Amino acid sequence: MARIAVQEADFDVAAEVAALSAGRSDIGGIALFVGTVRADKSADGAPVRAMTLEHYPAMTERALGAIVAEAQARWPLLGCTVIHRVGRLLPGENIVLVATASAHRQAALDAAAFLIDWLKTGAPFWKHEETEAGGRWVEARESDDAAALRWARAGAAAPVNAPDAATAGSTPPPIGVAAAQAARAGAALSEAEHKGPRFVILFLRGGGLWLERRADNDWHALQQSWPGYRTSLGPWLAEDVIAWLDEEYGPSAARAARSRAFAADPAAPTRLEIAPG
Amino acid sequence: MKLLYFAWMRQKIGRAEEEVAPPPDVATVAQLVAWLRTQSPAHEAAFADTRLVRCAVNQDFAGPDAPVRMGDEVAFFPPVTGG
Repeated sequence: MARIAVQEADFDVAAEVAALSAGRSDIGGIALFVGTVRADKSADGAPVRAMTLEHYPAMTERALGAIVAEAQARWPLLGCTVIHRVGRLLPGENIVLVATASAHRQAALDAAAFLIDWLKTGAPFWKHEETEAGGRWVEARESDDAAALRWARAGAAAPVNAPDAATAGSTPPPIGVAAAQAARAGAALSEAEHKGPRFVILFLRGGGLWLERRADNDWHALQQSWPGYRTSLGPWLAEDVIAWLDEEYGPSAARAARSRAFAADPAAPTRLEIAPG
Repeated sequence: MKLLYFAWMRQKIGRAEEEVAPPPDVATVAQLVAWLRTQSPAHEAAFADTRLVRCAVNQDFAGPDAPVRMGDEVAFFPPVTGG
């Protein structure tokens, strides 16, 4: 069960928390995040006098619903509330509330962190700041993308319904490119100007690392076709894959050369092992 | 085809929505953007740097290769900044 709301009115934090546990005794913990308007936030140095939240009404609740469903699929939540305000807000006012209830603290805390990270990068809201100098649209921050992406790469807690969750121990859940995609909230449109084959990076249980030539990002299909599937990133162009591998594992001319040769040969098998398990 | 614009895209285009009838060879988001750029100086300015533009087709985030058809609702906006 989840409560999702997009509204101009303020919310009552205490009442929302109380509603999550009202009449039940199976909840062991509730995690709460409340985001508020900070006055000193403007990039041009001037204090923020007000902030206006714009959104895409037909899409907002749907996007929030998808993010909440993802959290519910990953953690054993007994309740979940997401409220996002829109319209003109003053410093100190509430912007967003995320509250999660679970039998144990870790699931509640992780799910709340996940929800706020994904909300920042996967739901159609835009902040406009007013200062004495005028108004400006808040720019998306790469650190927010990175925060959302960490759920794709590292996972946080094994969701109860993940394959092998019972035996996987600390193995990250099979999350896949859905997170990467949500983190970027749709690929930049300029990517169309760089045509080329795309590759998915696959992480297997036991440490295996593979590339697969693949244009779609259907991680359900990937999960079924790869025994030991853990998680995946992409689909990206070959140079983006190589750059990511260099950043993550340290530069390797040999790995880059192998990856490039693989990418350049359309007759090659669709899969390349980068590192053994 | 119904187009929606949000945040500074809306301000640069000068309107929140418009109905357009692109030529039949416009089949993807990227092709739609290329066509829109030719429609007015405001469109050209708004779509000048597509690294800053995101898209949704029928309320789902969509990349440049996503198909667009007559009757679709296509939204253009900057990277989101909620939360």
